[in-house]
Amino acid sequence: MPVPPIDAALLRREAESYEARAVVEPARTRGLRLVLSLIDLTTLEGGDTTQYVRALCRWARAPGPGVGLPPVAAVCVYPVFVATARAALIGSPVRVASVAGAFPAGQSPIDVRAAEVAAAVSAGADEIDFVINRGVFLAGRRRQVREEIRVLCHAAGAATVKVILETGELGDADVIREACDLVLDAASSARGAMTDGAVFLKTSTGKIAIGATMPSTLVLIAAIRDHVRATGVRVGLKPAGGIRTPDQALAYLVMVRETLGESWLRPELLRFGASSLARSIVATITRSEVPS
Amino acid sequence: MTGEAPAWALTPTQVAADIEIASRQRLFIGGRFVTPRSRRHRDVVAPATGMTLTRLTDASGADVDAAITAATAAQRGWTRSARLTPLLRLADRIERDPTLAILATRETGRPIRAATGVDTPLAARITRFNAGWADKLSHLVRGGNAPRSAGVVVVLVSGHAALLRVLWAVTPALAAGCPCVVKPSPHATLACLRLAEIARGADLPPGVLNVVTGGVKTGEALMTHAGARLIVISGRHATCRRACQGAAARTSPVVAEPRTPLTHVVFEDAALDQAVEAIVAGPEASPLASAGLGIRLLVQEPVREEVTARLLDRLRARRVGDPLDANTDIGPLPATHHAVAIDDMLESVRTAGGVVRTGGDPTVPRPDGGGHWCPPHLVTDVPAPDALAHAEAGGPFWFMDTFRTTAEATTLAGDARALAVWSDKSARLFAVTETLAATTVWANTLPQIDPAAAGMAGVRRFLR
Repeated sequence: MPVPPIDAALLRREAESYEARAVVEPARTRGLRLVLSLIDLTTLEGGDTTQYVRALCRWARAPGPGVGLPPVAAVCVYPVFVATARAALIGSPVRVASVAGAFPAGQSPIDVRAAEVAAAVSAGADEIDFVINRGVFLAGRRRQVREEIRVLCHAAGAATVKVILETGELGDADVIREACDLVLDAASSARGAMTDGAVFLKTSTGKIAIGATMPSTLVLIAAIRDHVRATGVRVGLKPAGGIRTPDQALAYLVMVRETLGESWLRPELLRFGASSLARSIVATITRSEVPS
Repeated sequence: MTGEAPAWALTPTQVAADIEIASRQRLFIGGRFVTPRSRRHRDVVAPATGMTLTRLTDASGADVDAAITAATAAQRGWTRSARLTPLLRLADRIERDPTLAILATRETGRPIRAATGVDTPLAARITRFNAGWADKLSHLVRGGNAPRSAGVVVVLVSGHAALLRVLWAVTPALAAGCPCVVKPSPHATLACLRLAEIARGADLPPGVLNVVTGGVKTGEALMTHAGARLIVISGRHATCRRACQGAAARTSPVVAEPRTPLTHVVFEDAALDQAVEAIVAGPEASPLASAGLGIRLLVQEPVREEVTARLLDRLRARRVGDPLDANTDIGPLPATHHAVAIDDMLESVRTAGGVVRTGGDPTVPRPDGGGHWCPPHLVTDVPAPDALAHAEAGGPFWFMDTFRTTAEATTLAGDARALAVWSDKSARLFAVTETLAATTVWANTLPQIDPAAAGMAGVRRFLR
């Protein structure tokens, strides 16, 4: 059955209804701790150094030392820092994620992209975040996009893949939905029998002005839900880019809980891609837990 | 589902709602609260707690007479030049008044989130829109002669969305120069009494807006009073019909605004997720269109399974609980007799082979006490004509039937007065809207009633 159209105005309205939920204590602190454990702590700057990545990994293992906060889900870095992160995270549950495959535009020859993905995996990455080539997708060359996704999934081997749609460049909700379905279809065929959480849909690179929004994330959620209904396989969700404040993150948590359900609220199926969110959550929790 | 999923649920909240409610309510006649002549009264039971909230007077013939007399006396001073400013001020005061929402929540069980976020802004909008007629009446008729007002108007309103329905009738009447006597349902009077108080604060002259309380007998006394020039009745279909049948014996005309169940027609090419969202949010987000009754769905065969699955998903996430909790979507059933009507309805649905499935977020606690709680239900396999009758029982119920062709859809929806159509093809939308007898049709949108859409029809009925 063809995918039904999406009404953008009503989509926004639905997103607002989740934002309007009141999250009060103790649900608030519990929710923030949960969000913290779902964060892909990310650094993707031209100025990144091994020293900085090492320090970030130290922090990721024990955010806000002394207050007993859970470690984040993963540290997300460029491929050249995978080995550094791997070494710095030995003995911790924090996973190593790497962007690869010509991040953030994907505008490189596909064998070069695949080689980069394979290199990141062999350097020790547990998870690969790669982009779809929006230029090719928006030009209508769906078959090529599908083929590229298949190649990149193969290159990633057993690593979890998070496919970045860059929703801010796709524009329309209908186009985003089409991209979601294409990605899920390509990834399923590439991975054969897909397992829960082996593939994630990720909204954005964080490198353009429009990152994750609640309405665009709702489109991903609908695609994931329909995929589960059709195949029984649960796909992960990663909103990324622009989620900076604890309240924003809680609104996403409410939205995922009310749409995909409570079973999605774990790192195997839900991640937040963020660089500054983790620190502001730690600041918020430590502030509220300081004895008066 | 794995059992190791981290449990995270919202913590119950409580909106600060400690406002004083007098143990005995008086009547608002001639610009002040007066002690009623009647000695008869009844208890108002809060639906969320089952506790007595206050006591209402069953206004007697003498009380009704006093109210109509006060209204008649106010007619002369309620001149065209005097109307606009206080009515606009009333709209502003309504907008800023938090107690209207709190009173409705405590008395009727309407979730505070909807009462504050939907009802109060809409109440202000209705008032402001109709206030605007006050200085434009002479433009309503050809020739430019200023029309005369119809005289004293009696407004009888049923329990659901009472304040909005009162304002829907009263504000155009006041703008047209008609003083009003309002009798809301005994299950929803507190917000209306508060409205009268706000109107006084907005400098509406004494006697222009009067509120009496009571049940059927008080309503009869109002309708048969010789001073009542026009009667507006807004309630269930049966109530309105009874009132209209009785009208032959009286001299004053009756305007009936029956509450009828909302029908959604969902075509296979519709934006299904958004349609489902609007269908589920209906009772909360569109109080006037959904009318506090069950909602009927007509779904095209090919998407029957899709829509059922999506509806159930969304209904499972609905939060049923304390209406004063800011996160509650569905409050308690409004009054005890609704619970009985719902049991009867479910009984007859099951006998006829209907399938009943329930929703509601199980992590949401229900307050202890005597409240009647009803999770949202999806009823499938009930023929569409029966669903219309079932929906009259009220409560959070969605009744689904299917159709195959546009012609079938129009036939099945033919008796619906309020209709929402969902399709991506404009040709289908037009085909359905043109062949139906519905008074209001929404296409691909949340069924919200807008005062501006009623236009001049709202005010015209109060002019001669």
